[in-house]
Amino acid sequence: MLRLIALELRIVLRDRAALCLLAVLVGALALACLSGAALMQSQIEGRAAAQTRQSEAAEQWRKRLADAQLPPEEAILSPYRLRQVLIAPLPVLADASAGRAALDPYATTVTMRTGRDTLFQRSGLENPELLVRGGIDLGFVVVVLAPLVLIGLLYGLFAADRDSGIARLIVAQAGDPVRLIGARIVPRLALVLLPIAAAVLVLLATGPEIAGRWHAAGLWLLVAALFLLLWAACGAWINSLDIGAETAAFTLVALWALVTLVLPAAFSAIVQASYPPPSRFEQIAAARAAEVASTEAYENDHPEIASGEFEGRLASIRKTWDVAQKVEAATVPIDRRFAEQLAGQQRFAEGLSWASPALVAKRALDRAAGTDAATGQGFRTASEAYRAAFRAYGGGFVERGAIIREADAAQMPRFAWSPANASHWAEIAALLALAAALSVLALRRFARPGSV
Amino acid sequence: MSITAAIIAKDVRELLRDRRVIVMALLVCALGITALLTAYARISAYEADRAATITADRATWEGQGARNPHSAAHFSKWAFKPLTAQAVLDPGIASFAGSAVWMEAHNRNPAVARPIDDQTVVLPSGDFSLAWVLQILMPLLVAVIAAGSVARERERGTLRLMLASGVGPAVLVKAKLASVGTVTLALGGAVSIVGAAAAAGAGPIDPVRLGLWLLAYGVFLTIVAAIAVAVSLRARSSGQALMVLAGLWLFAIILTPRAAATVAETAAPAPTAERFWADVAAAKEAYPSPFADGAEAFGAKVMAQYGVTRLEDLPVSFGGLQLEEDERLGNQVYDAKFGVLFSIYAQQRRILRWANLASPLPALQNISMALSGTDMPHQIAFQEQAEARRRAVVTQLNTDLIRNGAGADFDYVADPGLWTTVEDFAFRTPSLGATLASVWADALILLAWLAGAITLALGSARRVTAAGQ
Repeated sequence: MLRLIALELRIVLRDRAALCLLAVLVGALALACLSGAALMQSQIEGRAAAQTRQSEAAEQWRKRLADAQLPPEEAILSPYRLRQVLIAPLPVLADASAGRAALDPYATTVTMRTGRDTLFQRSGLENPELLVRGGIDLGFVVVVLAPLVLIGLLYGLFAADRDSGIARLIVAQAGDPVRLIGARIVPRLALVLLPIAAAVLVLLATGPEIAGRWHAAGLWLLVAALFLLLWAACGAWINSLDIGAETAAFTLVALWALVTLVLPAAFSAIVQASYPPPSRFEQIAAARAAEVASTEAYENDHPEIASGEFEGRLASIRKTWDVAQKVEAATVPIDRRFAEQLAGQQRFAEGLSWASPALVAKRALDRAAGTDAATGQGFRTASEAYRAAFRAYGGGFVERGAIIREADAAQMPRFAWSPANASHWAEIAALLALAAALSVLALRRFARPGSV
Repeated sequence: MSITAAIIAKDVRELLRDRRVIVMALLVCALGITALLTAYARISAYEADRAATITADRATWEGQGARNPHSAAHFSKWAFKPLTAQAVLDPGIASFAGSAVWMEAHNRNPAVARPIDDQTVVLPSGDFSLAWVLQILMPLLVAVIAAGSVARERERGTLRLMLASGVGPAVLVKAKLASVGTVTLALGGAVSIVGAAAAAGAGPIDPVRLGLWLLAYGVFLTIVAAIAVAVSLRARSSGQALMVLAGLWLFAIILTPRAAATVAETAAPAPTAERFWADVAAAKEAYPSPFADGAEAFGAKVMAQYGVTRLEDLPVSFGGLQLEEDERLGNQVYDAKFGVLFSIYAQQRRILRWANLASPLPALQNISMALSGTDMPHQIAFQEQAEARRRAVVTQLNTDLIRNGAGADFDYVADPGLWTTVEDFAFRTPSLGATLASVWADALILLAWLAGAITLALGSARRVTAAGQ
């Protein structure tokens, strides 16, 4: 068997078309590694900048609380001088699967003035012209590119022999072509999978050290291997049917287009139509109408200029706080609709995605990398919860007319969030089951006498 | 019937008998129409929502009552980006770009409310739209249709028969080009006509832009058809032709635009939002604020200008003047920082253009988005116009404070009638001339590809003779 595999390997490596395909794969992997490293670097730098701002804010806050000379009319404004920078943990494998890493915010600043709708207002300066075209990451290579390369190597697995009449000769000599099919699949699958594994190793060797990165990479590679195994099994099954190489190629390309392009596009349209998010414009208008309804004076925006007197400033921030609460209350229904629709989208999309192995694999890869939609949503939800707690803390002092002292600092809510450890086993089991089912079907057909 | 017409008729008949092609063509058409319907519904709802929001916010703005103008300038107004009817055909960057700008005093805010932020599904291969169907799926369909156009004749031996019956290689190639082109344009045309009707239903459309848009896609699909026929002419078998074309499609349509985007981002990286806003804040801290370390010098300058020795004697609001000066200084920072950001975007576009050496798709995408009003220059025009309007609104409100708030400054309360004089933001779509100027290079590239593809196909006729079949 090993000699047969070695022979097949030599045949593949002599085929110029196969070498071209492999060259494209290797080129794409190189680009994916560069792009992944750049994304990871920008994620690290962005977080470092956010951390610097957080440190500066913490230092200013510490000094303010420690300043015994701070006049009461200034000290009463402390809740409105307080800011906290919330930072999501670095995704463990963003350099392998970008997922939503380039789209979702990973840091934000919370102050007493931060509303639900403005929590992530300043995120994202990436060029939309590049975002719309997408990038190349290892996840894209595995889900989109590698299957097509594998199809290019496998489409004539046995159908080409059938076309040329050699198939009958093989069966006459060997009984059934199962061993031959196995020997043909193994080197082709290895030629696609090994460069991907090497690319992951390059990223691991050159990327940052993050706890759990190797474990995530192991899972990621397992998903990638199973997904490609599924395509190899699919190629074997199609070749086991009584068809020629052209029809086999057509069928495999059509299947690839169906699960990789058509179904995801159709699902996206269905999900958007079924769970359309409410209007962001309506949300803005509702917040502004509520603000106007609750605001009468300029002190709302400049409490420190309103008056030099303690009571005047306290009245001013109380008004600001009161207006902010009324705005929040007025926009609760629409904000709730947003949360419900987005959660609905996510649930529905996840349910539909089981119909496309490409989407199952993509979800599993993104999840292993920590760049999936659920992780991004988790950070948003945790940030929103923190914002509410933060404002309740500051608002309490405003309402009581009390000055925040050093002793009160310990009660300030702390932001600590880490992504939930999502299970990948359902996706892994699904890919494995599908690959096994197709393999069994193919083997049974090949092993059946007269199947050629 | 001429030989060319006979070959076209035979090829079309054969394609109509091929159920695989029929199923795929129907699927592509169905997807195109689904994309159109969803885009139509989305854009109609968006525009209705935008109009309703502008009306509601106008009422809010005018109903804010007596207030200090600077307080109103903080509240200020929002600019909402309109979508043209042609966005039904190609939403372009609309999902990834902010559609609303808060035109607030002191701050140039970025465009927010990106639809992608409210979508949990991100496709592994681009945003779903009619343009996506025509750019991604239609070339694959053309590859499937054209793969066997000559190679299958060769496999069956009918190619030898045709040549023996007096059909010259050049005539054969032209006939094959015509038959593949006819089917391609019939399919693409059918979807595009439905698209044009949907766009017309979504709002007023510019027929010149629409015509150019259709022409660009016609040229693109002709390029694809010509290359596909050339591959079929050179391939040993239809299976090999199909795999080569699938490989070329993968490389040129799927890989190249993404690779180019990746290279552009790596070669000319945009700053992270964290870094950008930190730089803006630092630059604003650095100038002598008329409210802080620059207050004394600014006060002296103003007193000298008005010929008084005490601020209290000024015939205008000193606070208003401080605000206006602060805006002027802040605007310089924003001009510089956003200028750098936009120049990075322009540089990225220049890098993207190099991808046209490997694929005509990036050029088509640029033209398609530009003519649909959904490309980056249109987005930048929106943001720049919103910024110009912000400055005009803030200056108008500051001017009222300066003129009428002497002595009272921030305690001055303006008459509510002032709010009615503040105009809403109205986006002026860049002219057709400006749009074409931004994509003339892409148009030339597309034409060069067309010339190259047709030359390649006609040149492949020699291979037919040389092979003796």
